[in-house]
Amino acid sequence: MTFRTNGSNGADRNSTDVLIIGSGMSGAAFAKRLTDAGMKCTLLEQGDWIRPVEYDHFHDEFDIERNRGWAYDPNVRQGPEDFPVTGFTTPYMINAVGGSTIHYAAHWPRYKPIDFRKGTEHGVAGNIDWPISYEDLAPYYDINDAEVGISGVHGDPAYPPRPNAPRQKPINPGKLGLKFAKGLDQLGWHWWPSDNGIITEGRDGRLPCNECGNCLQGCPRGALAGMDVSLIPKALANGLDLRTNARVTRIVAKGGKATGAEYIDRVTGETHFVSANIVILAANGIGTPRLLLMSAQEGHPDGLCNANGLVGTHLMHHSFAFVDCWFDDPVEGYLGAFGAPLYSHEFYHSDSSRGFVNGVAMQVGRSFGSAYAANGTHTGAVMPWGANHREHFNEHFGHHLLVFMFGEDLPIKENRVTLDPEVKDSSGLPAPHVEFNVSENDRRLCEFGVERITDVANALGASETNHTGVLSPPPGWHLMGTARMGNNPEDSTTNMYSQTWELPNLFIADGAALTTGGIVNPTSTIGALSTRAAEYIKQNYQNIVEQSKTPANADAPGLSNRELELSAA
Amino acid sequence: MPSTNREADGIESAPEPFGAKATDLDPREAWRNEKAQLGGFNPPVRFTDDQAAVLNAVADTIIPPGGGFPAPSEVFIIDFISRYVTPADKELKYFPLAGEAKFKKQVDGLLGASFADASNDDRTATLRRLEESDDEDEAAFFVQLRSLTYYGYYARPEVTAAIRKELPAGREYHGPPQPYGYLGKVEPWPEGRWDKNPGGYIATDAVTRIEIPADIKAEYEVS
Repeated sequence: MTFRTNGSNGADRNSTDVLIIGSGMSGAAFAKRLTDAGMKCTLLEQGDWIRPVEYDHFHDEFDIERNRGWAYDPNVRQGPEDFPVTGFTTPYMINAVGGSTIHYAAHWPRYKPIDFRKGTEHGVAGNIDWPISYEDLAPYYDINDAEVGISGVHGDPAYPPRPNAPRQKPINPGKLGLKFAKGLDQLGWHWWPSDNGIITEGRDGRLPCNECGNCLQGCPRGALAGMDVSLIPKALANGLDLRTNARVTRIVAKGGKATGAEYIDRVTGETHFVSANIVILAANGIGTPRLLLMSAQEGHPDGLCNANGLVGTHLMHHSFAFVDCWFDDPVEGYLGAFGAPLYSHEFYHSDSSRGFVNGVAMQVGRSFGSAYAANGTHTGAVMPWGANHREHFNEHFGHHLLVFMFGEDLPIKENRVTLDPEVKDSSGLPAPHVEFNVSENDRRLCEFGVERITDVANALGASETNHTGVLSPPPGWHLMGTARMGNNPEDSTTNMYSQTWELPNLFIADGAALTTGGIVNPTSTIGALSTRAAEYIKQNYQNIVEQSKTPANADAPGLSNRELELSAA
Repeated sequence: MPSTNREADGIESAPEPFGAKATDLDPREAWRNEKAQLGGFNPPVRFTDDQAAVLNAVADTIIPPGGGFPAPSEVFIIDFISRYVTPADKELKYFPLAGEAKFKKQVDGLLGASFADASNDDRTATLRRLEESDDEDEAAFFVQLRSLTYYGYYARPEVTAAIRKELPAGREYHGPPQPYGYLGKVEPWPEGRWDKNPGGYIATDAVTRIEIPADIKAEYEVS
């Protein structure tokens, strides 16, 4: 190995082995694995650390804060660390150490083997096969799961076995989870307790979950798998040079290679340049294409890695609909870890007779607090005011069960991220603009999902249900597909090892790199993909640094499982 | 702080800090002040006695007391409203998007001091008129009043205590999620039932082409 030693600062602060942009799941996985290997890594994060007291969990007013400073949508929070996103979209993301993993459900399902073969299965719209299989990724799911800390139950028959992925005991279902499981049992449908990035036993100095139910607002105990409490501290201990409030303005390329990135220190206003042998872009499915497009320069007039015009296209969010169900008996949805206590993959696979391709999944969620209930819970069913209020509240609060469906949405070229010509962030950089339409296949799939959830609610004798119908735009929890991995420079942005086709030393393995979305929350797959790409860099550093052209998938130096086993040992 | 050795630090330029005054040594305090604060605005908006009486009457009409639940006015709903209406000297950008000047003008003009002394039926009729108004401002004002009342009332510890006491399904509810959480209150999965669950997956080498519905095939490109 010829890379430099960790932790060298001072005069050498402006050059590094590996420069990582973004500290969410992808950036943190790269930082952990590459600093483990002794590489000098610099990580640029435009947000800052979030301290435990900054969360809303300790406040009587926690429910209203969901609409204000702890909204999921940066356009609502309007913090200077975030960037605005324009267009027909509700993007859910946050800029902070840990990225959007500090503000998510941490539901941790994996893709299934078929999710890597959608080109073969039907090839509708922009679907292509991934150049890798589930089996290629499985060892890296296991490694990332072990390092992050996951709770759940082995043995789901709807998945290949995963004996090497350690699991803590699952989060408790409560009356809510037990009830929905009973309904699925009555119909003979699949369900399984969820894997969650929520620790139920303390580890790494993090406190175990105490089942408070406010997971989507982050976790001041560190039980939720925020990268700020899981992987980043380990990378820092290895000597990671983490720079907060460091907003990247562009990645610089010369002679067919990335040479580094320029960033603004938001505190001082100074602009810096860090040169690097390898650059990792991990800024999420909207931030990553934004930065590639912002990096238009000589030789790359339409942005970096965009000679084929694909950067920003094929945006996927998953199609969503929420169903609120109420029952006469207590459900107590306000307590218990959100994550997802259980899921059903009964309708995961395509069935042409339904009139659409792809499938839907059901996930059970929780209810939040009493004020959220009064204001209409997840489907906006605001409670009546005046004389009927008390009776209505008393009959509904604590009797509520949320199930939401999400479906695999098609990667459509026109659903895309571009740069807004007018709106800027607080540093004067262009905001991303999103165009997103839910198309016919995905509408049908949503309607089908709502009907199946309602079947379960009816089987259980629900007193009332309310649903959103297909959400358009869908809630942008999942930002995927805008710089995807593929088979050749014509159909994708990166090769099978996450090297961009245009610049062999620029890697992308975040949500943008996901070729298809599956019907699962993407974080565990982003972690696995990033861990795999990091292992590839670790095994082939010198080769990659010397490459003048990104190798075709068949010609890449590849990965040795033997080395992987040795490093695991 | 600006480095004394800019070249060594790779600094290309150093304009004034973004989003802060040039005289600020560190802009982070200014950023914090511009963001939504937990607990609302501090200092809060000040209402006249008449305005406070009207707002109390509004809240008591939206959520009438009874059945063991206190009136909003009894649990100081006005304190909450004062913290979540945006003061005149702050940019109006946070939910429920009620700005001090306009909100006060609407309290005075659309409701008026007499609202506080009106009968419950008259107050209800007035609020209903606002709710159903074709005038967007009036309808939006009603939604702000309802949101402030619902979010404020159910954030009060006295109301949480009533929920625990009066509602069997709310017996465990304690308001703020932390620091207590609900440890020991959430039922676990029953032991050893997992082998009964159905389910399956399609292996990598078993993936084959499916028949694509004809109208879907016509709607999209298929590769």
